[in-house]
Amino acid sequence: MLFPTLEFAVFFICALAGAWVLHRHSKLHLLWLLSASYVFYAFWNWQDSFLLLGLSFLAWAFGRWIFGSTNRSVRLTLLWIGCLSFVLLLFHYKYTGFFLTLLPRSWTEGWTTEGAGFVNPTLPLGISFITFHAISLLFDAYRGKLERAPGLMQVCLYISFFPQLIAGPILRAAQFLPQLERPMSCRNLAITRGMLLITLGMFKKVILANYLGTNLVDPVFGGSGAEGRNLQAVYGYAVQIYCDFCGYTDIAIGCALLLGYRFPLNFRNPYCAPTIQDFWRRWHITLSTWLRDYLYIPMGGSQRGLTLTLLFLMITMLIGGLWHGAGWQFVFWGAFHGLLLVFYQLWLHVVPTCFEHFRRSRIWRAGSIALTFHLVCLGWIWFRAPDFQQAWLICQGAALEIWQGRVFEQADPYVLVAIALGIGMQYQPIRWRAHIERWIGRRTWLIQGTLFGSAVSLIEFFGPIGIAPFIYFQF
Amino acid sequence: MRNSESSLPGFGGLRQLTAMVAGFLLTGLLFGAGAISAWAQRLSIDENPRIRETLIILSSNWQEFLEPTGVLQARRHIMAWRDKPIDQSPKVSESSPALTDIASKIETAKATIEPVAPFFSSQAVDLPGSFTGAKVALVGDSMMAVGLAPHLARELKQAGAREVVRAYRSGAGLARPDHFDWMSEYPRFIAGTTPDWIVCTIGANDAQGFQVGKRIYKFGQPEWFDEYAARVERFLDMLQSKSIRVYWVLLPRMRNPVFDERMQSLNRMMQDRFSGRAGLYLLEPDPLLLGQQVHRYSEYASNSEGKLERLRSEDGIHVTDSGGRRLATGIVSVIQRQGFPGHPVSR
Repeated sequence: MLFPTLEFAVFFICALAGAWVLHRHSKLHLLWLLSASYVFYAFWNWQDSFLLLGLSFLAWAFGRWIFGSTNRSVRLTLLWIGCLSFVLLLFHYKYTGFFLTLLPRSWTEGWTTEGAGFVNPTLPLGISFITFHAISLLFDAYRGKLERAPGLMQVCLYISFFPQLIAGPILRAAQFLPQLERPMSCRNLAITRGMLLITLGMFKKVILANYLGTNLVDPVFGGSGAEGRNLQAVYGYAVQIYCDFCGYTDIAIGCALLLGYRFPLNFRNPYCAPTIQDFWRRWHITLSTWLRDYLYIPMGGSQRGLTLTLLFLMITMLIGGLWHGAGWQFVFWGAFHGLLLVFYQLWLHVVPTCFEHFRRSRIWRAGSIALTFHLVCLGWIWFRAPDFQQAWLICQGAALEIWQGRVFEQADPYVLVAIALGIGMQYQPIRWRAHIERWIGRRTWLIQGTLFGSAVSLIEFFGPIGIAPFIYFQF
Repeated sequence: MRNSESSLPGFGGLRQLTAMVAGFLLTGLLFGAGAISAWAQRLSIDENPRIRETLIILSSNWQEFLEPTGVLQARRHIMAWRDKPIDQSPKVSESSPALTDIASKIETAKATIEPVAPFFSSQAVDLPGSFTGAKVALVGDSMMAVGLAPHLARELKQAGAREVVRAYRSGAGLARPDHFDWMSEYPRFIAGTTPDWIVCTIGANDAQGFQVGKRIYKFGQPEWFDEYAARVERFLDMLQSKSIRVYWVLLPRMRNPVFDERMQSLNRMMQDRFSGRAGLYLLEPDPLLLGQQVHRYSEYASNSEGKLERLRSEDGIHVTDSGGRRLATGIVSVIQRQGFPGHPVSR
């Protein structure tokens, strides 16, 4: 069941009620949440629930072994075997088909004859996120970041917890397991913030992302590049993917807050980033920090000289791109961002510090933000387009529109407002949200519920019939 | 109920949370009565029909109860404003010949790219009554929207089509007009214009029961196929209202055997009842996808370079970009030639 649906609302209210009724009995409380998570997952495909259980058990077993072993070599070996197992599993489900298309014909000839056609295994939902959670557990156990040996129920819930199961945010074992292990307190729940995040998330996903996708991005990216609105569609997709993903994350974080758990921040106004490095500190923060801590740093990070640092950056971004999907356009997108990061590192080393004063000026900052935003938008073209040819057509179409001065031709005012809103909300002062939260928080709780209920109803009125899936849950 | 368990606004305990949820639910039930009723109507008829019926009765009674209060008017007004026709067909701007001219030159250059598979030579044969200068509508559900439409639009433009109108919606079908009503939505898609040709693929969402009045039609029963065929008839009457030629792409084989059998039963119905209809051409997609006269599910096939390429997506239903490219090339080729070695055209 997708987040902004009536089915999920009913499910969540039941899960919430049960969780708080049982909160004084920690084992029953965990069991309730675990059962709710498996019901949530089984709603998509009940057979995959067994896979989820098996992966959780495997992660727990390796985590226990690593935690319990005092021999460093043994711990390292177990870490490698465990990580390799999960990576191979992910490869099997997600990348076998892509790998096959890379093989020479003579190797695969027998697979295309009558009756011998190869069929990919069905991709379990959220497999990428499940795998990353498991690897995080193994690494944190190895690095001594776990306070105690992980319990089976806690590990199962850590991996399958329904608010983050399908599309993140990616949780760290060292940060989330302690929350599961401590007794639940029903005091000082961030209720208003949770409801505010859920409502904002629904607005971003149901109104902004859906509207831009249906009325601008899908028609243009599915066209021939000659119909105009290419540049609008590029900006539109930048807003769509942000609102879609950030909206989902907001709902996930809000649901977790109401259940008494804290998820990490996943987006921090990414289109305000003045550099590409800063962009990756603001966009899908849990993924970029995961890649940094479990891939980039173990490879050597920035400790082995400039050349190797740049190489490790490229490898990390290539893998990051491939994580998003088994396709060349994702590899290209990852390589594109890798190159941008490499150029940025070279820039830092090459450009003399005498420009430091100018680089701190507002003009420089504004220009940097604009440049970074447009470079990111350029990368999104390849991320969204069905193939390279279409991406190239979109680029050419956009360039022609700028050259011809026809950027706003055929512009739909509502589309432009949606784009402006999506970009404008990046620049909203933090104190505004704090003010709004405080203002709402001062109303009586029944009034607060009425306000949020009215807001969600309005979102439903303006939203489309039926809900399109979140972009990121295909990963 | 005020904050009593915390001095910070917005923070509270279980009683505050309960009050919040109660206010939320009450407001949702009031303003969302219409949405709840619509949701109940959209539930699957095959699974738990009694639960569906109960929910419909409850939600309808609740709506009737609230009607005099005027609470439901806000939703109706907003939805009427929201649902006013949107022109989804991007038009080539008549006032920007330079843009069109340069773009068409780029597309002509792109047309020299080697076709993907040796079976599908997409040399545009300029037959009388071919695509040159034609307006083509692409109609359908996600089988059109995902993977096929972008490539089909491109192939049609390369074949000389003047305009491609996109009239598809994922999740749509003919079985559930309560969810998406093609009879009222299609005129909005084409916005008063008349296409010269239509390429259509519908049915992937239709293998389910539906309700007409109080009568429930379960999928698979003869009455279901009779009623569904009548809907297809009405739909085709609308599409072909000005003697427009319709190329109906049947459904390809699916990975899931149960779902595959359902789709094939729809294909058989189309072939049995509509293959003699004037102006309607049924195209079998599997030979076009696989490059040979076979009718089986296959996720991979070799391209012209001998490399494997994936034709079907992870769900075992939709086509990938490679599959869409093959299918699009094959469809355009078949339509231009009015036939194909191996006769994938059923009529």
